[in-house]
Amino acid sequence: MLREEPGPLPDFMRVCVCLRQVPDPRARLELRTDGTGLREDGVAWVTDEGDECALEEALRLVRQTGGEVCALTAGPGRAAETLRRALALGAQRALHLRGELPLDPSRVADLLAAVLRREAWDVVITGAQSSDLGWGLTGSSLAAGLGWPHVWLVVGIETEGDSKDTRLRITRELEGRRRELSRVRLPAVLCVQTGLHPPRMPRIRDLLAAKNTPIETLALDDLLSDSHGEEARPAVELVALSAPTASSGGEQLGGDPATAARELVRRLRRDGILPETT
Amino acid sequence: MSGKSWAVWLAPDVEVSATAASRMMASLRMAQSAAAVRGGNVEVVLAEAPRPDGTRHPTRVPAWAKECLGDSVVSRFSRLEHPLLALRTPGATATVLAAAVEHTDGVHTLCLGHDYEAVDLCGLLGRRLGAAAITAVNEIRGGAGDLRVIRPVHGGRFLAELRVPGDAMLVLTVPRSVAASSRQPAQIADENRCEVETLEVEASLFRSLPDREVLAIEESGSPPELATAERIVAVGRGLGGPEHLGLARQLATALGAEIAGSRPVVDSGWLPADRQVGSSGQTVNPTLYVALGISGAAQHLEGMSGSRCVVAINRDPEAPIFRSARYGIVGDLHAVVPALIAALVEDQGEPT
Repeated sequence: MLREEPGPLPDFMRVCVCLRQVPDPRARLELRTDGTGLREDGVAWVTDEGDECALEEALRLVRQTGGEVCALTAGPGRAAETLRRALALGAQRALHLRGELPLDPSRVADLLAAVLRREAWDVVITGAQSSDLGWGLTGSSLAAGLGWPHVWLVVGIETEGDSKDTRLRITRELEGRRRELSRVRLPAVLCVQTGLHPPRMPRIRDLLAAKNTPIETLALDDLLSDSHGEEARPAVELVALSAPTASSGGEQLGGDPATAARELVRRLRRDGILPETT
Repeated sequence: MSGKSWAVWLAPDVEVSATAASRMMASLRMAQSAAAVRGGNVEVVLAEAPRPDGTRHPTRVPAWAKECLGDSVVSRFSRLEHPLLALRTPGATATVLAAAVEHTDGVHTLCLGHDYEAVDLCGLLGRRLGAAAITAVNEIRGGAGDLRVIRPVHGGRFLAELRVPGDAMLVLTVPRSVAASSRQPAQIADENRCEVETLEVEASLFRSLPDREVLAIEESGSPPELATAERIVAVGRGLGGPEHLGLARQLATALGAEIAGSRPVVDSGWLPADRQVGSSGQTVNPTLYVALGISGAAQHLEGMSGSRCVVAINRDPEAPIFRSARYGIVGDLHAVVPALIAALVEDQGEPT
């Protein structure tokens, strides 16, 4: 099989981390009464956990090789908070694609590709799957748009070789606790699985300092018209969000904890799940 | 709309596990739904690398595939063979599948069983074929002009109804729960009922494809203890912190259960990786599965859906785990679990 050898790793790595701001997955989320989406009043917005892990890997990679981390986010004004946090954690640059983010990850990838093409990058890192929509497609769509290789579910990033011939060795998670080791040529898109390294926490001092770091801002609408040159793809639109109907069989045991617990034990024995007492 | 609705099956390296088989059945169910909604025939495309000795696969339905087909009505079973499929990288596989779609008239839907390979293919094929790419699809409905696709969002807490133009090509990944919720196949397919062919396509990497080179696949060394456990107490992030693991262990001891956890718990280092249940961890089939503070994300449910009886204890009444549970207790697990331990002990102590 003919294939190009991976190129040398540059002395100065230019890494872009794509971050998504999501409703705090640990908070209670409520639907709007018309069923068209989430109620946004009172929602706490946080950086997606997978993307925080991606930022952590980007910072570690650049510390190893030398270079620069640029944090990139797309979304309305509030998403700037995600960038300030990234700056406080050590990103050197921040880029905000400001506007309403499309639902379809293929469209999001078009927008990201449109902006990433304006500069030279060595690696683009992002989370494998966001906690809100969780399509898991942004990385592969982006890589396809840029014509780069990509790896999804990355659980290990290592550089190998010397400064003249260095590549990335990537460990990726498969199912059933199997792992795949591969060698990737740059530039590439890496989609990081959670749990690789615990993401660092920003210090208050750095958060305050980040407020003074300029954020480069581009209007999403301008990019949308730019990226319309791409081949036309069908529009995927959200019609409604709903709570799933309860499935059959589920029985809620009420009362105070002691009553509920006794009821549970009685039922488990009745059902033959736990042995009868002798 | 007439045309073809494809269930695409990727031939596994070794044997076909029960999990892989249920994913293939799920993709077939969805291909059938798509044909019902959009018209046309259902076809299965089995994509595989050539045999190591270079001989061709015979033009017939393999025995394992007959079991997956069951009594489904399929108009054609195609064996798509190409050397690029041996690379097992998404770029190479997508190149071959895209060539197969372009080679065939009227394919309107491609359904892949949802797994780590299929999600990558979905994104790449969507772009190459100018198709709408949608992962983890539960349902497709509507008519030719007004197509609706349903998928879970926010960790399974809500379902999103998506509108797609009626004439769009769709590339979907389908979780195996779609097969489990439908009728199980009652019989093994009679291959005389469908046309069987070998599908040959021209595809090469030279056109556009920068890919990666797979060096090795590593199996995890430790034995899957959880896989054979009769009872499991599993903890999620709702436990609050590793300092509360003692409480979960007390319950496990009282029940004679193994302790396990969800991915966030393992990621946070509360439990070692060999204790993780879910699609990226272990698949378990216990008689009793007690989920403490686990919300029930799809990846977790994938690993525990074989449990006979699921008990969920969670503070959030809307946690998706309750929909998979036979019994649920809404409440603070720090109050409920001690009460449960007391009830088990008290029950042991009092002769009936």
